[in-house]
Amino acid sequence: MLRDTGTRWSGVLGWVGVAVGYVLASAALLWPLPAHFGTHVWGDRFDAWTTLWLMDHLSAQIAAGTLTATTDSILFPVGYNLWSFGHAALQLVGVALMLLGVPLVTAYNVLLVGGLASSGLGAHVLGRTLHGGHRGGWIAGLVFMTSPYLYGEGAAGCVELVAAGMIPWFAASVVWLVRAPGWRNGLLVALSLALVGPFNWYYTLFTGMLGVGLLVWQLVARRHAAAAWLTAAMVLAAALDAPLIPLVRRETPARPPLDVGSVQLAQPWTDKVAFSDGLLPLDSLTESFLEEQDALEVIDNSTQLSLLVSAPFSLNPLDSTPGAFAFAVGLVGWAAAGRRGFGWGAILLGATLLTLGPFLRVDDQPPVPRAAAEWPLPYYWFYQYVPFFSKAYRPYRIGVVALVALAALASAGLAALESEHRRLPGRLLVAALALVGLSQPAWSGDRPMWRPLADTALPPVYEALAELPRGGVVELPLQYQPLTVANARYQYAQIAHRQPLLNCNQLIRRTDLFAFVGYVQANSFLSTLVDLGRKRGSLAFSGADVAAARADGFRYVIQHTRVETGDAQLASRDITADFLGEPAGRLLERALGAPVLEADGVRVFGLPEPGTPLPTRWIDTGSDVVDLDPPVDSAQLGLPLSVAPGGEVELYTGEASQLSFWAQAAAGPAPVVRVRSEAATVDLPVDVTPGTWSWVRLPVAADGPVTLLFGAGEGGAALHVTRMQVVR
Amino acid sequence: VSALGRAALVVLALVAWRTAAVPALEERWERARASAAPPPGAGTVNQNWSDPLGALLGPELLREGQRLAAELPPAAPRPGADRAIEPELVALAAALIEREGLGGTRTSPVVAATEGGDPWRGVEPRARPRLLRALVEAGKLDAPTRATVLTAVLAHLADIRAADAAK
Repeated sequence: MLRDTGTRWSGVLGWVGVAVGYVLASAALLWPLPAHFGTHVWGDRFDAWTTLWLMDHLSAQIAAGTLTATTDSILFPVGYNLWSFGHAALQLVGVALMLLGVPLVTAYNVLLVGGLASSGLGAHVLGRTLHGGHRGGWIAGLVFMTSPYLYGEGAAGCVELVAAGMIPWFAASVVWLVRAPGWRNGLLVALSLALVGPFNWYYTLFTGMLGVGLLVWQLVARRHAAAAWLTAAMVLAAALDAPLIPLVRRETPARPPLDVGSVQLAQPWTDKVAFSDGLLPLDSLTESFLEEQDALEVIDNSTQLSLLVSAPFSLNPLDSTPGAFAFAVGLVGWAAAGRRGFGWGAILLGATLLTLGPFLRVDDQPPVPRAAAEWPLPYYWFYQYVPFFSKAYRPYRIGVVALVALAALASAGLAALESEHRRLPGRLLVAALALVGLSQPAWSGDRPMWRPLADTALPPVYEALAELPRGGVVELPLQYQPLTVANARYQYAQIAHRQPLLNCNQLIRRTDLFAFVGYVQANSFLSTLVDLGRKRGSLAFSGADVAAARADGFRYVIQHTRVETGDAQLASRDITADFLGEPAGRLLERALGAPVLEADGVRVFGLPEPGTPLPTRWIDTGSDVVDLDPPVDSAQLGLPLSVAPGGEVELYTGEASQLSFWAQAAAGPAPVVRVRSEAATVDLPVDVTPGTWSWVRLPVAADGPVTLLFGAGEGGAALHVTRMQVVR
Repeated sequence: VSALGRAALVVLALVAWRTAAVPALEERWERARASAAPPPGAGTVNQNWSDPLGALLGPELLREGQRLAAELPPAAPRPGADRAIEPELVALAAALIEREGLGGTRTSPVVAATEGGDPWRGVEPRARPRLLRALVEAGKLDAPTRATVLTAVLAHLADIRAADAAK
């Protein structure tokens, strides 16, 4: 009895040690994030900011007892249904942490590290089951958790996809059922599968696919009792998850069919690029157009053959595969396991084939070649004709099923090798594989360990905005695509000011985007604010529409005169979308008056109070605004405009009342703006906030034509400049 | 064949795959890309991820650049730097310099033809591909200036490598 108790405790402690091991391994894989756990996030894309907002929103609303399924905190006043996020259970874990007092960013990072660790642990359970010892668990866990697929999703901020441990856990439960068919193990399989649903719709489908693969395996192996119990368990799981189906439909609206003809044409792909860049006017975003984009998205989210061949450690999740490390260890394991690995090998091949999507593409260059379109892959037929399959509209993610098979093969192979060679140094082998697997971010593929982390600090001005009377906010520029990181942060900033916000980072579903377009397009004031940074020429809106926006609850419009340098870099050439110039700046001032709040490069304009007499129309033709073409456009070239010691660079000659440009400090002193007229030469200092792109607006007080120059002192000068304009 | 024997055979096969088959396949696909029409949207910007520079410059130039880059000594990782893009950057810069007929200038000093000073001073590595892309796409600078800037790129990278080597 005492010995039994001791053995049980020893087993429990062993699993605690394993769990701690995976937490440490996750921290090592994600390094240097653990060194900045409370202030930075691993990821520069948009899901990270969205998830941070969601966690904060949920915890605040739950704490206040005001949580509703639809919120107008974003996409105000249309409203956004929170079920669209589709990973409620994971969010509840994050919210629970926050309600216990864990700060937001720390809670987010705990979810990320915890998700990765749970993935390793889930695979460990499968590996230990197949191998019989923890060594088999470790090798499976390492193959699974060190994949570029999980890493890339984590870097992109998709924490719900990093927490994939329930898929190998489900596979382990099926193995137990096969070994001992009966209602207990059958129920465990059913609950394991059903539990995936609330955490992640994608993974429910993928786990179901894996279940079908395992079922076919049992039928082929003539294990009829196991097959019958597995079928019953999967039916029960489907019944348990059935109430969630309407919510699944919300998360992923009905997918349009794939058109074999149009995918071969160039025009739809050209439109897709323009759409992704947020360059298309609102009136072109019709329902049929958005459906076509959704269909092309399936192809764009498929693994390319060239990537599958080399399986690099890519940071971009769209380019990710199980990875060379997982493929190598898994395939060697398969070879060692021999016939025992047949079933897992078949699942590996099947899942890998499905990741290729509907059409075989060698690389990412559209359109789809004719031969590939005429001979679709299995995914195409499943997508078109199997109910619910089209919800798995990002084929590359099916790679997680292949990963489960690779993890299983690795542990089965180790078991075969160890049974054949008793003196095989299994622990040493696993330790060596751990070293290789966990260090991949430092040396393999994109070497993402060296990428900078994203700072989550928000300007204090947002807290001041929270003190102003409640009212809807529009942050400029308003975008219908998550175009830049600075823009993505607007939704995140809502957690500080708590005012309802029209901007929404989650318009990736065509139903939400269509609702946004429908609302904004009906109001000339709001539609003028869309993509305001890249608009050129005349701007106009009616007083009636300003009043209508105010009547709808809008109260504030926010202009940014600074953009963090890091955010700008991550936006690549699209950074100009963040840079408002003229005549937008002066039109805002004319229509809305002086800012009600201004600090930290944020200007908060107030909309006129209801009943205020407004002009019929505001219009600014911008005919007096001249866009300059300086010798170096730093936003395009990534190169500062350098001025030689004591030298000058001419910018403009003619009538001028104002010079404006966006600038970022370069090494060394900034040049002065030299205004040379017949009467005098005046030097104007250029004030740029370090670490930011800043909008510089300098009035030019001179009668008659002037020459505007950058001038340098004895040491020379340099400045990053773009979007340079003169108002005549 | 024993389990160990089968595993060893697969290890050998994987090594052969990585060292021979993958490069051969990639070269073949590159040739196919070179002969194909430019893809729709080439030269525009993807919303989330930078376009591969190779797609803009063309596979022939890229391949030549890769060949030249292979001659450069490997670089050690530097904290905070975006090492992922640098090999590509080196490859393209080298290829462009070759195309401009300035072969052998990789160790040349920086010629300050762009208004004085090292144009790469203070420029984050992440921003450099934009420069190259813009140079090629827009033809913003004339050929001699472009070559000068590209020479500066390589000199800069050579400095980094020298600093790394000295650590």
